[in-house]
Amino acid sequence: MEDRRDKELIKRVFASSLSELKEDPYLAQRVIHMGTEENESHVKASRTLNEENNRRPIYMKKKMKSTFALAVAICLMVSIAFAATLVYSQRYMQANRADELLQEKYGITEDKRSFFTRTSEGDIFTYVGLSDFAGMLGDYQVNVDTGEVLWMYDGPEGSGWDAVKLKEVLMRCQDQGGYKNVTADARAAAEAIELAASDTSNLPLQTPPPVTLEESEESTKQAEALAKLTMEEAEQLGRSAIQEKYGLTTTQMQKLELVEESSYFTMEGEMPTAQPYFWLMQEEGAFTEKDGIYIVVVNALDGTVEDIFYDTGLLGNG
Amino acid sequence: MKGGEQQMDVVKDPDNHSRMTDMVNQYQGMLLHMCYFYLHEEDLARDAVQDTFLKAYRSLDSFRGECSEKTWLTQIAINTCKSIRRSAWMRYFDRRVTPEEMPESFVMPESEESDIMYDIMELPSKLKEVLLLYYWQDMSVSEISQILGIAQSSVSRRLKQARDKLHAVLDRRYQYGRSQR
Repeated sequence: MEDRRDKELIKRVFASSLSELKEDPYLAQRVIHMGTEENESHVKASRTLNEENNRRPIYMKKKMKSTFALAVAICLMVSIAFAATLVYSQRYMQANRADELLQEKYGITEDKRSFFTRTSEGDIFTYVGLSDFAGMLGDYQVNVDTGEVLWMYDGPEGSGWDAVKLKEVLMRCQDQGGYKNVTADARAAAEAIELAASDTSNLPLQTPPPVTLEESEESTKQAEALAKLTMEEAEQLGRSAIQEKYGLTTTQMQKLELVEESSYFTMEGEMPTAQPYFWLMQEEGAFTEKDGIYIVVVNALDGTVEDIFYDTGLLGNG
Repeated sequence: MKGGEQQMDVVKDPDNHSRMTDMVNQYQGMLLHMCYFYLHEEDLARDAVQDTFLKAYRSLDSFRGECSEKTWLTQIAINTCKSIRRSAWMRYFDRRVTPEEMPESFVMPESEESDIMYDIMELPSKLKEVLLLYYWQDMSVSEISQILGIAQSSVSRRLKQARDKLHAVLDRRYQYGRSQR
């Protein structure tokens, strides 16, 4: 009886709430067209290649097989000590150094780093401003080898921008309290400053590299096949690493939730990684220090902590 | 026959065209709502639905009818949504929807329905998905277990948790249990 009542209630709620989400009348036509078009080009291409080379096409499976064998051999040689102590990779140490250098020169502290995504290539770490704010925040580049830190708006002429202004914006975003207010205020501040600095507002916005679903799925499958760690083990390592780096209290650690659907295995270059994704919200609806998203990149072969990303969620993520 | 040519036959077959058209007409709405609940963005949900049908179309011949078309498509759609959520871009964003962030087309006048909807949206994903499949899509525990690739006992456990959480919220808001029980 109760089950039926719940069903009726949920159906009524959904019907009323989603009535505006309309179907696309051309979807079937488009799917058939896309399916046919894709296959024609795919089959033609594979036939041409096979005929031209007069040999069997090379399948990914072969590569997988050899990579897998190599990984097994490596794993047999390496003794896994991840359960006892945390081991950090060189990349992790370099990333920490890059964060320090950025903070020293431009005052971009840990919480404000969530306004950026960080990528690295060798000794160079690049911090790119997120989403709509990319043009305003600009890119920073840190060379951990030489200790050089550059901002794209630096230069002899300057652009009317400086670290002080940037700090003002970020501080203002930070000080408002409450996710919704912060986000609204951050947007307002960004718009105002973008207007004031119209000479730099036409800079192209950063967009994330396109990742196709197939690539993402393939990368996950490959990493899962090679991994010597389970996600539960990676989660434990991730928790320890977060506690050590960010100094979370026991209560905060208890509230740190693993978001399973966003935690996954993926290949980073040749390395299979497990990337547990954590979420901390200490008080519903309000930002408390240390709240946000934590993503730990763990080498899935030997449990080395490769990187940790922290995002307060204040830039529209919360 | 090579894989590519086999797929070519599938998409060239006029019977499959009409079968696909029927499937889209029958399940598009249901899948669109489902994907919206996973992705919380109308455009992303529409992309996921298109991708779901495209994957289904390419593998129509491998569908052996061991489960219903609805179960099969739902399974593809959920996996597609999970892949999108795992993509490099999405991982930086928490897609929990608050009432203020609902797309304009979904903004409803203050009503009991809208409040309940928001409460459901705020449930943890694992609980929300079983709740949606069971109550809204009328799927059985065994079908849900097949779709999510988890044991039936886990589905039952999650359903119970979801129900308890929902009732707790409803009781608090409307004294749901007391007035209707």
